[in-house]
Amino acid sequence: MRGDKGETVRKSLLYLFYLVGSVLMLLPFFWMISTAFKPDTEIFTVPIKWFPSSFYGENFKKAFQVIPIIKYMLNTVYIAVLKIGGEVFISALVAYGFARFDFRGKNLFFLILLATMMLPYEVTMIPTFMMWSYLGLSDSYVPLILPAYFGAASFIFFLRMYFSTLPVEMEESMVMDGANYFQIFYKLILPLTKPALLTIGLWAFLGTWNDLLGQLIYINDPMKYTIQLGLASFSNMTGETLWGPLMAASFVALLPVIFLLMSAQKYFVEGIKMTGIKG
Amino acid sequence: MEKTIVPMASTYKPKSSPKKRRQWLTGYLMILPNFLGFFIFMLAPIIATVGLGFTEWDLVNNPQWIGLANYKNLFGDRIFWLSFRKTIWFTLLNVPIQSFLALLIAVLLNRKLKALNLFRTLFIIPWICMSVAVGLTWTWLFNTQFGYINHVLTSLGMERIGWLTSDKLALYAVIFVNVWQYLGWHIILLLAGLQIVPQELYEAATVDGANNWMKFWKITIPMISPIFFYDLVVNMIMTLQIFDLPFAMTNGGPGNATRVFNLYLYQKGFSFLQMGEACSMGVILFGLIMVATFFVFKFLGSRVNYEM
Repeated sequence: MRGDKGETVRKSLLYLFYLVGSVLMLLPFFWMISTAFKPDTEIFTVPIKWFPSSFYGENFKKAFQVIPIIKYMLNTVYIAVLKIGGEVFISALVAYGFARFDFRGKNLFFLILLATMMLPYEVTMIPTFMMWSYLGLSDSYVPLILPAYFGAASFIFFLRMYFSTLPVEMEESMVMDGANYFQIFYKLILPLTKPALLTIGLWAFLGTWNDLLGQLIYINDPMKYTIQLGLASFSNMTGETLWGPLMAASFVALLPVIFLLMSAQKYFVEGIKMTGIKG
Repeated sequence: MEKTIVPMASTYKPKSSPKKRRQWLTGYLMILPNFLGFFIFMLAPIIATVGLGFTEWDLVNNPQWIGLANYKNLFGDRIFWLSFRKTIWFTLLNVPIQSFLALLIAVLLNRKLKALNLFRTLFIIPWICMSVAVGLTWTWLFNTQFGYINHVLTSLGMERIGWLTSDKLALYAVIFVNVWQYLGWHIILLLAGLQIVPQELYEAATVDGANNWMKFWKITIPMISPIFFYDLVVNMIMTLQIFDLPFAMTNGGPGNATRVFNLYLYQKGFSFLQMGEACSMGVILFGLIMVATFFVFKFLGSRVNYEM
């Protein structure tokens, strides 16, 4: 057994490490927020000012004038809402099929699925774009939403692993009672794996909120912009870089995901923990 | 380790053949949506990309077959090679630094300490943030005149550095931000891997008199090697496709200093409307990823411990 003293020293060192790490992670955000609340005279000074001398709201006002931030955020939410339910449900269904059933060619199909995970978006991007513009849907949200309804490879991969660790007995007893596999999936598996599904749903939301290339290609109409596109167009719209309003807009754009992380953090951690722990 | 600790994938194993057929059918039905998606959004577009790579096409007129001319043009294009090299260099630096740093932090986070949840959350904040906001914020931090980083340098008595305006440094600055932003993702993945290492193993090792260091090398490392390998492969594949941060921070500049492969591909296609050449670039990128993945599996895959 080690002495208490050694233990204390080690623990303090660890906490010091965590603290330094956390500061490194947070400092850019601190600087973003601090800039957002400063007037230009305090932004462009040497040496720097750590804190604004008063809470200065003009940058936010200006930011909302340059781009319709709320509208852009709602546009993004709209895409996410239409996308996520289907994406999670279908991914879970496919994952369940892979996890529980023996059928000819299963390994080959799964291999194909894995291969699609390493497939770069750019390899399919241009013909897919052509297809959507041929259908007259290129300047719409459809190309960003509809493909999700065929399941996402990484979610299927994750959920297959997760389903494989569930004990099979409960499902077998339901088979004895005459339930078919789709009923089992719907009535047993989905409720049972809610934390994993919520985690996936959260990731799907993040994926939508943070997607850049797809939105960049498909959305041209500034009224249809997502928040990320809006932010990217910010400097072009003003012609010069207005750091105060730009940081204010960035700050507002990040608020929903930060809020989501804070309120749903349980599902992040739970989902990860439960991946490996047997039921 | 002979005993199975993590439950293995168990499937229904019916004995009679009508039941077996029903099994098959159910399995097929369940994976059907993904299979259709694969044909519509993967296989067909890939074939089309390969085909369009042999054409000249500006989105307005019909594609014209020009054989290998696109590839010839690209191989003679200085900026193409530049973007190719930038991407390789980006990957070679980003992947080892990011993944090993994440492993280190994950190991240090994987213990029972108060306030642990808080630390974990802090580390994953950058990952959940959109890259344009992150990129803009770091562009501001890297600002030569009024940026925070140069403030730190000057207060230490050093000269100001044009991080994003210098030909030589801009790429490293973007790589740094990339490591910073996605570190949390890798930490989460590796933490999940560390948490499935069964506690019984550590307890048994303690009974046998092993110290923490021995436990780390003999239990943690072998047990986590499959997921760490997975992390490395995924990281490499993602980094070869890097687009967001260079787009948001420098848009390829100054000059071509941060014009990574995908950024050039995007600009070729959607700014210069050279869709044919952009498709050829897509094919080359795909080939690059396949070759790189093959070599990683060949040289690292054999060292991974899959026994559980």
